[in-house]
Amino acid sequence: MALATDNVPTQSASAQARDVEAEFETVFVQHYTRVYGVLFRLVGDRDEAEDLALETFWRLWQRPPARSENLAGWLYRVATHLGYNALRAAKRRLRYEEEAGRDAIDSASLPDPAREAERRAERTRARDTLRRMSPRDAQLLILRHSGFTYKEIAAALGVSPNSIGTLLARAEEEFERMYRDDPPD
Amino acid sequence: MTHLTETTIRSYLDHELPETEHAEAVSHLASCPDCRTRLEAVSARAGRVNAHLSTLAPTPTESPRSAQTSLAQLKDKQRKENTMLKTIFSRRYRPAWIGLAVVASLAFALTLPPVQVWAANFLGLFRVQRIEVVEIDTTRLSEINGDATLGERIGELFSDSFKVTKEAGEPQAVASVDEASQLAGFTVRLPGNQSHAPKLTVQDSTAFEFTIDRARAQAILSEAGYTDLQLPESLDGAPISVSIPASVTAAYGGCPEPDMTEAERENMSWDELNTCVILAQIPSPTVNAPPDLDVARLAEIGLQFIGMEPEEAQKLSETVDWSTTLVVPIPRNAASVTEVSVDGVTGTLLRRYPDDGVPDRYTLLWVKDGIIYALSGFGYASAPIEIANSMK
Repeated sequence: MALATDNVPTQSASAQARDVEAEFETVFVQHYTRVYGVLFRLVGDRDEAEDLALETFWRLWQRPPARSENLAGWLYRVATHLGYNALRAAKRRLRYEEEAGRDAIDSASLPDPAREAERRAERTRARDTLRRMSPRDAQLLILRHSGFTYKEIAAALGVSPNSIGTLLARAEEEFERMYRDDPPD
Repeated sequence: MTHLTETTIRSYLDHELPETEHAEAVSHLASCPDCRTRLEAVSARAGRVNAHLSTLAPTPTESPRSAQTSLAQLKDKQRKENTMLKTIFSRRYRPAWIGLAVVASLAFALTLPPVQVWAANFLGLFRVQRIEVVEIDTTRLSEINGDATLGERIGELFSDSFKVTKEAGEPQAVASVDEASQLAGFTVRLPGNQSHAPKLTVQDSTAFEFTIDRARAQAILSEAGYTDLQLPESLDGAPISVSIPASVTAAYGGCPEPDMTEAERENMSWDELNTCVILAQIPSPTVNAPPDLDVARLAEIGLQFIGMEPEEAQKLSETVDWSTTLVVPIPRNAASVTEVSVDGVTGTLLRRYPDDGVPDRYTLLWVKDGIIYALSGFGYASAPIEIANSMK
């Protein structure tokens, strides 16, 4: 029984810690905006998307994946997972806001209120469709439409790059079907 | 000639085919009206979906703050996050583990880093009859935990004399409550208001003993900055033995499995986790120490060591009966703590404040007939008290 194994000090312990921190910062700066973009598409709120982006990196910091070669894949899997769950959790709130007519009031002050209201309605409907899809299909569509390559999507979803074409075609079919089934109120 | 598959068509549209396959597709399409029609249909659909999804992209006014600003915010959080009790209350650990961790961190402190072992042992000279939750400021503890040299010395303090007298076996899954009771050696109780059978796991008992070298312990205290704390003479060479009985956990609903990979855990949805309720039960661990050991004084020092103000530590150490009370330290402001009436006794309900859209979670602790119960789960709706009151 060695109690101190977690804390064995070595000559380079602090140097190692600095390296890890520097590496983390590099990854953060490299991926932050893209992680945010993916999350914003899912949650549609700047503050929430920023919070979730930070949460994604916080998880990376606290419990990084065992294998570092698929770091980006891990990041975007966690991000889309968090975003999708937040989207589901936000359902009730969305409905309430719509009923309260908040959108209309908000957009009334903008230069082109009618167009702004229409854009919001489109967004809500697209997001509502994603919310009702399977997590994998929603993640797939969001990643593809955030400009990810098939290889990057495959790494994030843990599937073969060769299957992305089929999965994407089916997800689009499903999206369109569900979108049609949910006409705006 | 074979027609193009859906995969090929969709990949072709995104220019994701390898060069040779792309060329083959081009030449096939030139001579195959059927495939051209299918390509047009897939392409049109992809275009429509893209039009819907492109509305979701952030506009210039919706772009994030700079990566540097956000990184600074994250670093601030890293500094603030306590390290010791994150096992219990970190959002990273799903609530399923909270109950286990509460019991484990106090009963089986060896799996935790040395500082916690040290602190938990000071807090652990007891047979549990009641539980008292205390809030502590964990800033100090983070500093201590971050000090590798100090950590090693605390480790050595125990490891030199440390002896496991009963090795714990692997956790065992069992099929019925009777089997669990038989294997664990006490009568396992389960809530009566759950419609599904739980997954039952029995963790084997364990026991260990150690002695403390007072001079070394005192040196460690000084090194940690507590020069004014004098360990009682009675501590020197005092043989301390700890016995931890077998425990049983019952998992209801969509709980993460202990052997799940990181990826599998990440992929569990909140919807699924919301249904997870875990009940852990363990007969009180026992700690034997010489009767002349000044436990109250040790506890007071231990509490100060983990970050309690001296006056508060002194007051608590005087009011608590250290031979019967399990003191659970939690980071200040990490959770709300309420005394509740439950299962015919007084229990403690810890409720983690929700943050960032993560659902609320709770741990309900109580002791009845010598058994410690910890019930953990998500949300307000799960009604921990109702579950506990239905215990049979």
